[in-house]
Amino acid sequence: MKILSFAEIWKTVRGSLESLILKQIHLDRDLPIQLDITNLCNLRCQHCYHPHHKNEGALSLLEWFEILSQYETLRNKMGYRPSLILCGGEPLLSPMLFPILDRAFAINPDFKVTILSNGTLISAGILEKLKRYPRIAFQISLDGPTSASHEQTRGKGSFEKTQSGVSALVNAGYRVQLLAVLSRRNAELISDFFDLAKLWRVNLMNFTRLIVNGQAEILVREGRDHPLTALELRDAYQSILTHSARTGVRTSTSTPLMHLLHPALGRNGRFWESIIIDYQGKMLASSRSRLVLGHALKDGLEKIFLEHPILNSLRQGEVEDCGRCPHFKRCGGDRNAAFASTGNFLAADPGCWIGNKVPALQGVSV
Amino acid sequence: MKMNRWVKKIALSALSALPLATVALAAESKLLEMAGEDAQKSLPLRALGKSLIGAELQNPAVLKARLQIFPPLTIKTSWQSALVRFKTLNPSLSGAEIDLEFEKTIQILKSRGLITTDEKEVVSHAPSYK
Repeated sequence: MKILSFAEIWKTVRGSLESLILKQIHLDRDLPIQLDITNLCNLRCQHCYHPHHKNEGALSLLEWFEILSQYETLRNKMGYRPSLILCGGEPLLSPMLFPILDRAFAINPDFKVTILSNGTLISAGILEKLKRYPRIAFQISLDGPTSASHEQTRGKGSFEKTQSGVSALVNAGYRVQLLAVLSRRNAELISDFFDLAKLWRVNLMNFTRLIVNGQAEILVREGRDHPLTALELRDAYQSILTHSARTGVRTSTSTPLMHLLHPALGRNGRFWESIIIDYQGKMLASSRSRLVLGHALKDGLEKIFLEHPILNSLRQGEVEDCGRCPHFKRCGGDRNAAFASTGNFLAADPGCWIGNKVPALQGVSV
Repeated sequence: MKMNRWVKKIALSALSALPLATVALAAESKLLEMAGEDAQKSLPLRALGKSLIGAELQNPAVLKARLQIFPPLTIKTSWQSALVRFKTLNPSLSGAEIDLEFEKTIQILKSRGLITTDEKEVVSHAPSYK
């Protein structure tokens, strides 16, 4: 009979205690893992946060399977619900899309899956193959509510293809949300975005701020577009809520800074509670910042997630200016915007209208 | 029930300070989840949406507020005077941004029928300003 050392006994006791406490805490939320399964893309969007669409050094199918296993171990230990986001590039271009879906549902049949796509490649063949999976939803990128405004950013012919893709998905019963990159180009069109979303019968019309990274750096440098200033951003967010309520099309209210409009809004800035793996296996702080935290296979996904200093700083509110703000926990500030403008993921959000001392909105009784 | 929730928050706060990464993270996450539930209870989102519609489209007090966010234009204001007020109210904006924001403000207020402009003056039509 083997005699256990004190260290081994302590390790076992500690593990059991950890497991018991985590079970009692009972986390009732998802731990999203985003896999950028390819860097290839059929579009060349002017504001893309990727610097290029080459796919050299991409992970193999077996390596993606290993990452899924690592994720499931961590998720199971922590007690989060499983959530898988498949992105790219354009994920529908990847031959690994369906094998990865097969593997994910084999590991955990409760996976909730969202595919982030430009919507131009949805075909009858893809819809047929998707039929065998439960709980698949789509996020489709739309950067203008008209052909001209969308194609100014995404290229000629893309609007009609996206419209056709969305229509096919909605008719097939999929849950579809649209995502627009909000910038000077389209901020005046928020009302039209919602009208179109209603017409297309999608579930959500969401917006994310233009982040000056990758191709967007050229776009902004050449003066063809610009992120919204704090004042513009506040007006745009107010408009988003207004037109969401007017049309009955829901919108996400968990984005950073939303909380500044009302205490019931916001939630986020919780970059520390999601996992993003790029096409080469690098774990990123966020997809839009492209800030590398480590390599999922070489360093271990769990170790990075639990121990990386940047994630721990976020958990502890160690963020310049924002960390001292009473709204931090429900707002978070947009870390992508902070990183793009300062090179520091833990810097203040340049779009914050409180931090930038824009006069308060008076007279709105909510 | 309220007491239970309160006790739970204290326990989670204690757990979030433990040097056990998984437990600390889960406790912090749960605390944020509970804070979110508290905030949601304070005002359902549906009510907020309705009030924002009212704010945007109907409420005279908010129309007035918009004119305060953007410069508080009096019934007749010269362009120069309106611009000076706008600058005073938006000290964080740079020179280039001021012109852009001011132009945008004028366009918004015009499109909503709150002001009319000619070459010399900006005229306010906001009900609360009459």
